[in-house]
Amino acid sequence: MTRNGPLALAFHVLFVLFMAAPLLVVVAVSFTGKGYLALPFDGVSLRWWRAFAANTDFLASFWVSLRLGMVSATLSAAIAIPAALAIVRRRFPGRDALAAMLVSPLMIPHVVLGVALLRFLSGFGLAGSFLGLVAAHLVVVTPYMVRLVAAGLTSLDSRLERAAESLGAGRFTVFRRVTLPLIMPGVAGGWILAFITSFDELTVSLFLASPSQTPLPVRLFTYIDQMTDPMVASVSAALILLTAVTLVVLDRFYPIDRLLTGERRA
Amino acid sequence: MQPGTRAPARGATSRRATSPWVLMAPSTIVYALVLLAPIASVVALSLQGFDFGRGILPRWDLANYVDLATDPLFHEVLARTFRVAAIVTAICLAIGVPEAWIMHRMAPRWRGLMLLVVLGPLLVSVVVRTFGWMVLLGSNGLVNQALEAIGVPGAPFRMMFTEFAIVLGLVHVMVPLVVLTVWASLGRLDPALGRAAESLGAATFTVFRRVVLPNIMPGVLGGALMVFCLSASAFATPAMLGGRRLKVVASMAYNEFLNTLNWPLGAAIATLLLAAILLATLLWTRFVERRALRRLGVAA
Amino acid sequence: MRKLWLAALAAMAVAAPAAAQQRLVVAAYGGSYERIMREAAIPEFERANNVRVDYLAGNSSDSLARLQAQRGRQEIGVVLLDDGPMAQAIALGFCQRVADREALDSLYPIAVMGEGRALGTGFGFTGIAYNSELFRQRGLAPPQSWADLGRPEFRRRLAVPGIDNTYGVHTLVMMARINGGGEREIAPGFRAMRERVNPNVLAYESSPGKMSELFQSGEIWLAVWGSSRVAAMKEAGFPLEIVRPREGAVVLMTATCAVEGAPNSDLAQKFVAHLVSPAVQAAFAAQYGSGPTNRHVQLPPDIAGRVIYGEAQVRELVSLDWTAINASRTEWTRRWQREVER
Repeated sequence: MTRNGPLALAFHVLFVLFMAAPLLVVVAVSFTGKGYLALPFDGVSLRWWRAFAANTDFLASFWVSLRLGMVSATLSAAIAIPAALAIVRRRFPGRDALAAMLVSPLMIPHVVLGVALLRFLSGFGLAGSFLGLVAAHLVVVTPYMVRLVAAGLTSLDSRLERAAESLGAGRFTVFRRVTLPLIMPGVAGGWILAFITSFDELTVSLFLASPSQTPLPVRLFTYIDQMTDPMVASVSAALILLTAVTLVVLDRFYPIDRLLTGERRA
Repeated sequence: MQPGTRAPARGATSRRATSPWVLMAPSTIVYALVLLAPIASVVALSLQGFDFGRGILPRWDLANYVDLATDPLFHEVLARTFRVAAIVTAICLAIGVPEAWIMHRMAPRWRGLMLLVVLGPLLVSVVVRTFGWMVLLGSNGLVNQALEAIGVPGAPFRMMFTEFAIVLGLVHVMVPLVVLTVWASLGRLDPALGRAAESLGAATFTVFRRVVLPNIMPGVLGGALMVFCLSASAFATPAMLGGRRLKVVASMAYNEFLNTLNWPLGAAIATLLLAAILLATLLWTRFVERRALRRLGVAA
Repeated sequence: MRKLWLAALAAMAVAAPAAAQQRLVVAAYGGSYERIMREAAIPEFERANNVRVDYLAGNSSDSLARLQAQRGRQEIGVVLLDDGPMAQAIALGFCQRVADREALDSLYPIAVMGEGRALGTGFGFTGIAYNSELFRQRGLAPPQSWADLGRPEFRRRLAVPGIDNTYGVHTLVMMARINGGGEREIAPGFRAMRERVNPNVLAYESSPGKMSELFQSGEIWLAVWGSSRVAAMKEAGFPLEIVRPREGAVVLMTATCAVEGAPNSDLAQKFVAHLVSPAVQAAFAAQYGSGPTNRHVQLPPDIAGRVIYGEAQVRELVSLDWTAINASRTEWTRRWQREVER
């Protein structure tokens, strides 16, 4: 295939700059020594990074988001794996409808989800609890998990499982020792994507957060609403750097396009 | 067993296979509890009344909907929401499709890196990405400082709290999704087609227009629908970059629910938003996608 | 594989921060107020009672909404609200009676609200704040009247807090009063806001942090704001002055109460008493410019001259009929969003 011409490359460079500019700027501003948002032309300072490290509220939110992400992703895997197995490998009445339902949260506005869950959960006294947040995140991340596990399953050769069965293995043993290891890449990818999605989630969490359970994006958002000082920049820069490192490390085993769609690169 | 068969066969799997209903049970129960029931309760809530002192009033009528239908503010907000969504979709397609194509034609060594740079931001929280634009677009932000430095007349411009800022922020958030869906389509494209066209003397752009584009159209249209729906229901970016005066439907629902505490009215706005998104999806798949695909000779 | 799962589970358990200390959630204003609370009032209280104070920043409307949303399952222990919203909080049953009689008795009578359910913590007033340096440079006459908000030379240089903020309510009512109306006839106020003030407004900004940013970046030259906020910025070195308009500056008393049904209510009561103690009151007078509500507070003359000191001075200010306002507030909010803030 012919390579890209100079015009195409120029367009590409501009595009990349457009994508990277806001993120680079945030990282740069986080190193300012001034009391307001400015580029660190006067010299790099760790003042706002130290402020972040000393801020117990943001650190507490970081732990909330971390726990929330791990619990949601794991529970999501637990319900998505059997569902994907059923949808990909079996035919049963209502399969298409149920498959659509599983993926439907992707189409539902997060504001609507937030409103709905706040209303519903407050009836049970669960609004603002960790359980409520887990429930919300479960709905948000399971579509991604289902998609990736299903993608892993469709490329799975069922002869291996039938061979194990014919050798006398029980149903669950076949699943545990043959199927599960084979779909593990899909499950792992789904787990990672689910975790990241949960960690970044803002809108639904905004409705369900409470003073003791405030995920990190929610705290960032409310802080920015009150004032915009460079500590926001250092918290944001930390998140950007964390994501960047994760992606670079992950890229060796799981290229990003496969992570996001489940399909292999051309 | 014949070699080469790999059927998820209907009953041909072991008679001891777990019933599909058992497999679907956990997720179905969870979804029924955490998705279907809450949405039903919200639609029900939208039919009730509200008073700040007494809370939610137990009456059932369409008063909230009548309220919204006759509210000029809501009309303005609705128009703004879908206008912004349409503009964002158009821009994302205009720059996202070529970008996916350009990356597709890159040497493999560069492709991986470029994919990370272009798609990576999808995995950073929308709050962080939008905050970056707040820094760039403020009156003393970097863009204005640069414009002042090169002496553009009229600088510094007021870019924050404008529709321009919302569109810019949303394009940044959404365009990787278009790149992604088109990329996935391109990945399924047979390279032989392009080479064949080139060997017959077609110029690059012609190859793109007459060979590639028709074949990636499902990806393009799917991406367009996704971006439109996500932009119309976006909350954080319009709230942060547009401010209180430039509301969109999502921020109006948020305001009613969490500031004014008029939950029934907020529920009505949310229900209307959901209905609008579902309607848009239905119309899109039924009319636009099917017709476009048929015209391009692709099986619908 | 199994070890990996166990490790992950263990990590999750450990990640939960050890909560041996007691916790008190305080919902109060952000911006400069939060800064001074965190420096002057909170550390001493935390040390003396071995408690961790969680600070929830938000203006009076935000805090009231939070109380309403968590009715029956309150997490907030102590809330700080402006006098108007506090009257509503008391009416909605969110405040416990103050337990500390000594604290109650040491206040001016006008600082005790709702038969001992809420205590005033500071006096201030709402007026027109302006950047004295900028005004001098441009040779502008400082604003003298509420009607000056409509002066053409201030086009897009004015900031007014939104209706969800008490300052916004004060603005609306004063514009009504100077145009022949009042709390019970608000139409002239809306008309004045829409026709004469709106063209000058750059932003309807309810957040104190954002407001001070707007001043600092020079985007606005003047704003309707509170005397305490202005004093805090002046203290930090910014050339901000505040004017009591001819027709009167509106009194604004910050008030606090211990929330009914909150966890750790004895700690909440102690914090309320702490906020009206002479030491904390003096600190706020010096740094936040709020007049003390405690009769026993002695202020040095230079600070006393800058704040509302004593009942006589409070009576000089305009006070509004909050019963009427609270009854119509929802309707005013609706109208504001549709007629003014567009």
